[in-house]
Amino acid sequence: MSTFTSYLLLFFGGIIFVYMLLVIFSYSTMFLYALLQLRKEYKLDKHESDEELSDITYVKPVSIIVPAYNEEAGILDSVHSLLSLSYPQMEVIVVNDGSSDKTQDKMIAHFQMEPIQKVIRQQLDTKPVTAVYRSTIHPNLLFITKQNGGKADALNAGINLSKYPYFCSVDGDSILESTSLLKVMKPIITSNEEVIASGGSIRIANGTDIQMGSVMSVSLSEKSLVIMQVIEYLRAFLVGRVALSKHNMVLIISGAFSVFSKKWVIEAGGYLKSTVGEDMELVVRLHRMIKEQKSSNRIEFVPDPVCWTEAPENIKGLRRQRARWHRGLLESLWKHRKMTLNPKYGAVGMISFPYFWLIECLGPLIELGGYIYIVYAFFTGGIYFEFAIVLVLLFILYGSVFSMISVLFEAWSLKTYPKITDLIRLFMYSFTEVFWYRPLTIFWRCEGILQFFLKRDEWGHMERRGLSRKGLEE
Amino acid sequence: MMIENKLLLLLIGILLLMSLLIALFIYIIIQRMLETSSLAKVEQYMKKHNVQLYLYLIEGKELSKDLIPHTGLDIRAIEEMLVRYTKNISGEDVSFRITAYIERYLQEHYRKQLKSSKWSIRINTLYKISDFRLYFLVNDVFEMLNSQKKYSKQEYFQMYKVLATFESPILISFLLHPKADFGEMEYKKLLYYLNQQQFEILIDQYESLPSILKNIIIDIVGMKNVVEFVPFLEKRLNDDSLETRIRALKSIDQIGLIREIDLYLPFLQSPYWEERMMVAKLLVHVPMSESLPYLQDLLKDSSWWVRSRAAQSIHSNKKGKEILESIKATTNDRFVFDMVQEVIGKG
Repeated sequence: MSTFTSYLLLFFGGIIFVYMLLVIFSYSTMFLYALLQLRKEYKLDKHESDEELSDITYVKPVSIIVPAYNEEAGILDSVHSLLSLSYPQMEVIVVNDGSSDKTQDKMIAHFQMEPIQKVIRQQLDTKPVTAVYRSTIHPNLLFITKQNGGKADALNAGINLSKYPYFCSVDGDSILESTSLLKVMKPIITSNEEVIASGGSIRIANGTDIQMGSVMSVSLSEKSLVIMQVIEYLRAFLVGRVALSKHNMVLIISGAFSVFSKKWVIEAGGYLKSTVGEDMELVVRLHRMIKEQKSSNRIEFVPDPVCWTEAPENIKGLRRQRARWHRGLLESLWKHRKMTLNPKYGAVGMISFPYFWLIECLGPLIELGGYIYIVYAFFTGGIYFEFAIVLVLLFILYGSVFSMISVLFEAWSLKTYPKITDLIRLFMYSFTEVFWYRPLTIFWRCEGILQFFLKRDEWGHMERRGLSRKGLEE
Repeated sequence: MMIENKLLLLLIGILLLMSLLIALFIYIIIQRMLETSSLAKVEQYMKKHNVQLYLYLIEGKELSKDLIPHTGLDIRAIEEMLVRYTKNISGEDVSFRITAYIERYLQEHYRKQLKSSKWSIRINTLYKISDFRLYFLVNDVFEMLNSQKKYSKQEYFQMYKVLATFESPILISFLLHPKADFGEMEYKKLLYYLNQQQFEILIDQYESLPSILKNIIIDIVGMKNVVEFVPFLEKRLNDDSLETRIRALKSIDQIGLIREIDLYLPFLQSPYWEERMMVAKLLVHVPMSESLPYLQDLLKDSSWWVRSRAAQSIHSNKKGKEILESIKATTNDRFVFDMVQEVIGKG
């Protein structure tokens, strides 16, 4: 082997090594932070602190917007669960984004909808709205039909029609508890409206029994793919959200269930139509506005689980979801790239952006390199062999150990899963992550990066993804 | 060889870390099991003593000796039962007996908990003081407030709430010099508990209050619907701050008493749509014969909000629909037409 290739290998190995150390360092910091935070709230009577809020006098009215595209199967259930939310003042707006199925007929027949004359303030530009209906059974339920324009467009149309100062975007496949809206509004209400957007923590619903807006029992799914996702969500929750939220550095609040101040969103121009990650992009744009206007407003993340979502149970669905998520992430970061390391944008620019670029976004590429390196080195032997073992160990440290710690946190403080057998299964599975699940997700995320570049070549021919159930589309 | 040594070290390090994690996990699992078993015991205790507690609280029978708590688990079980009673049953006698029970058997326990070094335990205890109306602990709270020790914002709020629940006159002086940086909602909650007398004291000092409190007082007067305070609100209509004027208009609208329409006419020409909209809303409380000319003007307003409000105000009158129909038939203003159409269309 020539000296050139050996230097090259050493160089790559070095990069991967340094990267690993960086990731391990930043994860450890964030875990430590989460530990301190959770320790403080250990044994706090959560029920009491929730109850404080439900008093009608203090809450702000909210418009709930449900974009729907060919959702005839689930739309009625979704709307029923929204109508049963306990919240004193709200309206539900279902936006039919040019569905070709029976979504419209079902809605109109079931809720006895009647067309109304409504002057819509066209504050955000959308595809034309064809009709507005109001339910005669639930006067706070509206249904609008419009030409197909994608999820972001549907959300924007809903914002135009909404009459309350806050709106809440809900995915069709989200399952909510009856107190969810109150919980997610809590930061806004208690902060004296300093908080302009707030999102809830998402948990995986597979295996959980939820009826009439309350969780009857939580248990772990039998499927290994779902179990791994549970662990992943846990880790993401502890790593990113708890620490970042405290310092107003959250870049992702899930689109599955979050509340925004309408005034700010309209000023920002609404949801962007040219990205698959419109929820993240909006949050980043709001951060940017906050900093550019030098205001003290914040975006927060609610640690309580408020929203349950159906996770994909097969490889195909998961692959699609992950590739799309990653592409969305990259699109948002790229669009606002000038915020990176720009002191003007405070902690968001100096810490969140570099973190998301290096660890969340480019991470998969480097890790993929790492896996390839290891495989290669095992065949070539020699000095690379030992270096490869170091990498393997670091991979285990960072892939599996952090997952194990996350499960520990769950068992100790979050206590979502009451059954001890579930906890033991979670713990066992978390150990295996690095050997099979992690490489899989890395491949899919790299696919997302690839899609990002391919899409840029055919700009303007954006595929209409529609809004079919997130991650479950077949 | 160097590399091999380091490798070994790393391997050992990771193995150690893993064993530590596994050990921790086992520890937590055992703890969870213990917790499950103590929960079962609590459940058992509750089942066993349910009837006795019922006899004491509801029937007013003498307290059975079995209900005297001995262990931490007993306390947990009894607390749980008492909470259920306070949540589901309201009655002077019942809450009096609950308070009496706690005074006798749990007073010292709670006093100790107030001094706990754990934030969550202190907070939970403060909640209980308000929930169970533990008047005998108010002095302890008062001492906490006066002590040099620094508490968190949530704790301070809870302490103030205790003072508010017991209508303690000291609260006012604490409100004027708050120990934490409270937001609007927190003040609202605290002020909402004040009785009318205390409220009057605050209103007497209105001018010297911080502006955040001023605005909240205006809101609460509206929420509490106290007609006696309308003159106070009317005075605020001349305030320099737009925010204050809008809030005063809102509260007057909530109370629904317009003593003199002339006070509100200047707002028809206000440069701010919020004020014009509030007048459009307020005019509902005035006979239609007086308000209609103004509302018709507002219907042509440049702001969507004002037009919408004006149309709704007309519509809410008995003859509103007729009036709107005739406006719709005669107007040649497209905006007026659309708005009227929408409001009538709602049915």
